[in-house]
Amino acid sequence: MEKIWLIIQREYLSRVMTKKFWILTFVVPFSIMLLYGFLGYILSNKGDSSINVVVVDKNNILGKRLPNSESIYYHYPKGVNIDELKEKINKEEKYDAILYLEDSVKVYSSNHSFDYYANKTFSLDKEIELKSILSKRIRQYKIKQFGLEQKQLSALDAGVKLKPQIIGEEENSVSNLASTMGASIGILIGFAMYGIIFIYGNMVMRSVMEEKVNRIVEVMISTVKPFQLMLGKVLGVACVGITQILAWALTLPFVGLIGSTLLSSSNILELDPSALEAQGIDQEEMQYQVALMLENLSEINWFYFLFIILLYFIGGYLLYSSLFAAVGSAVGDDQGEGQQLTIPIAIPIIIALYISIAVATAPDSSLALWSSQFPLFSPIVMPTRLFSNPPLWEVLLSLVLLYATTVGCVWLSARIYRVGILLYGKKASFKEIAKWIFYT
Amino acid sequence: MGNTCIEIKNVNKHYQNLHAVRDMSFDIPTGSIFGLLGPNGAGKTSLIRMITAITRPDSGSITLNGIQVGEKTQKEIGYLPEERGLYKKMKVTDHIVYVARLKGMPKGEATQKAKQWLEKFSLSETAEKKVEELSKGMQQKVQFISTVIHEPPLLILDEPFSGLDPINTNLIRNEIYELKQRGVTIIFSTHRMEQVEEVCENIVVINKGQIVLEGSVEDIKQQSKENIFSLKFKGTIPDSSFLNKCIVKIENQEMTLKLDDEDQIKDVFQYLLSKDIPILRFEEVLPTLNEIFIKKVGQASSL
Repeated sequence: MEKIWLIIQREYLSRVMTKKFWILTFVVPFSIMLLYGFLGYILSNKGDSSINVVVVDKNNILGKRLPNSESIYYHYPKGVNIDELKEKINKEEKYDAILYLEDSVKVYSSNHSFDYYANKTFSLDKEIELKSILSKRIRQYKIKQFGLEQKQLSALDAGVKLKPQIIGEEENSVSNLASTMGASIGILIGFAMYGIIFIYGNMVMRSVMEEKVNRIVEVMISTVKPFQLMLGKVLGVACVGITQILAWALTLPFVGLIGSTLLSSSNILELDPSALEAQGIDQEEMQYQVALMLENLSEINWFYFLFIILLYFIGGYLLYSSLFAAVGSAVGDDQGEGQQLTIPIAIPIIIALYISIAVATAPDSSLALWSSQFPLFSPIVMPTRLFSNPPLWEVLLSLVLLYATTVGCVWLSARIYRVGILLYGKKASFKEIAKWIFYT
Repeated sequence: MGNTCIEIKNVNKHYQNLHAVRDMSFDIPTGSIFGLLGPNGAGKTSLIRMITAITRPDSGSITLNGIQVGEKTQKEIGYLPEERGLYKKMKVTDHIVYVARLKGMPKGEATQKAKQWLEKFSLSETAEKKVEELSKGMQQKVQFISTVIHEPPLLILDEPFSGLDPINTNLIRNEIYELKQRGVTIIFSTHRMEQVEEVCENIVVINKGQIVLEGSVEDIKQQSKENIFSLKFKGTIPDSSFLNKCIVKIENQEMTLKLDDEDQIKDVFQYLLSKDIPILRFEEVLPTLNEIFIKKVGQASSL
């Protein structure tokens, strides 16, 4: 036991006590932050400062004066000739563009086009702003022409919501919204699980290969059991992973804070009520939804979920990293050859990720049921399903299956590892590896 | 000779279709430098791996001071494998201390011992350097230190001089002698016979998993001698049917004689004295281990 502890320490310290580790750990969040900042900057760039637009509205379709905004000033010069105006714009005097509404609007048409004169094109956001206000005014114009009232119009909207009323005693049946949220959280966890297995499993494999290629392994094996060496490695790398994830967990809020500060300074996230209205979203409704979401989040039994997810993390990591260790031990002196042997391990991980994406939207499908029991998939699939509250017995059965397989895989890998690390030269074939399992 | 350090009894080891060690039995006396010889593929490494409990024999037993070898005996052994290496990214001191601690030495003691050894091998300046920054010769010294740091009563050195320059060879050889003086048993495995002759007292020569020769170097030589003598003289040897029969080679007033038995020495001397030829030197020529080895192994393979 003391030996395993020493090996864990060495594996851990030899990775964490390097500049490379910390650079990698912090460069990743830092680059995300830079990306955020950069995006924020790009999005906040509203192009040139304000423009001056002359509105010529011959039939008074638009009604009262258009209100000036931050980026567009509207002008209504009296009695000007359109050609004169055009001339002025061409010389870049006073005005930047003319909005020319000559004909009357056909009320039964749903498409309208107006002439817009300018000597250069303007930024997209100004165009959008202009279109939006025009569309609103034309709508009002039509309402007036039809002799309708705003109230009647609102009454025409027929939003439909389905309220699921679950019959039965299930107390923790979660609302629709919560399960949608659960699915997104589940997918995130599935992705995280996938990344962790790949990154740290590979780290274990490289570490095994390094020992073998360095020829240090024979010295080690004359001191500790191969199993101890392998386990020490797997656990040591696990500690590296925990350290790295903690470091990220601690830095990401900062990154997020800086990122969102940059973004909010650009007003991008400010919700314009009128814009929402245009999209048919009621502001009150939205506030209600947000409150509901928060309520649902607090209703989730986080301790239960986090505990179960942790169990899957541990089981999945041990299962796959021991397989990676076995592969590492079978690789020859040419490290590149290792990639080929990792394919059989990589395939189930990738399949599991795709299944978990599918399962997130259909957590009770038959695919979800069996794939969350299959031990090679369950560490990635079950956490995705977890937020739709699968029956407890399913979770427990899947965990038992996972851990039984993990023990089997660790045992199997240890047997391959024990033979593999002492064989130098070329990489072993799968047939040979299979034989090693039965060596005494 | 006293006690037995390692006792190997009827050991067999198979690998798939190779019978690597066949019913092998021999003892290694405590406090001796013991040579384990044999060509490549003879089964030396297989045997060593069983002694160090890396692998287990299929049948038979190996004991170290009366205890069956296994996890418990591993820390009694310092093993320098032929295929040896170091963790390249570790600092020299850290590496040595790590290995020592795995062998059960407390951290403080290991650190102190590491310092002493580094000083002894004039590596003090490299103590805080990474292993990969060291020259190959320095790395080999670090490997040797890592093998002996925990002061094991049994040392197993597999081709310890391979790749060493003459200066380091000397350094390591002196260290081996010094350790022997302190009562350490040393198993010295090699396929290079000339190294064994100068270092080892007892040897076992194996080939194809079996013992071909065993005993003290001196005994083996005596057993394998073929009554060959070299004689340095002055003047010229007259043509003689008696001598012509014995002479194998003659040049620069020195001749090599192959006699039927030791009684013939008298006859040779008498003949030369009767011819007034001064004898400057006369000595028995013992076969080198290499010659014995080639002869034995040649025999074995022709069987």
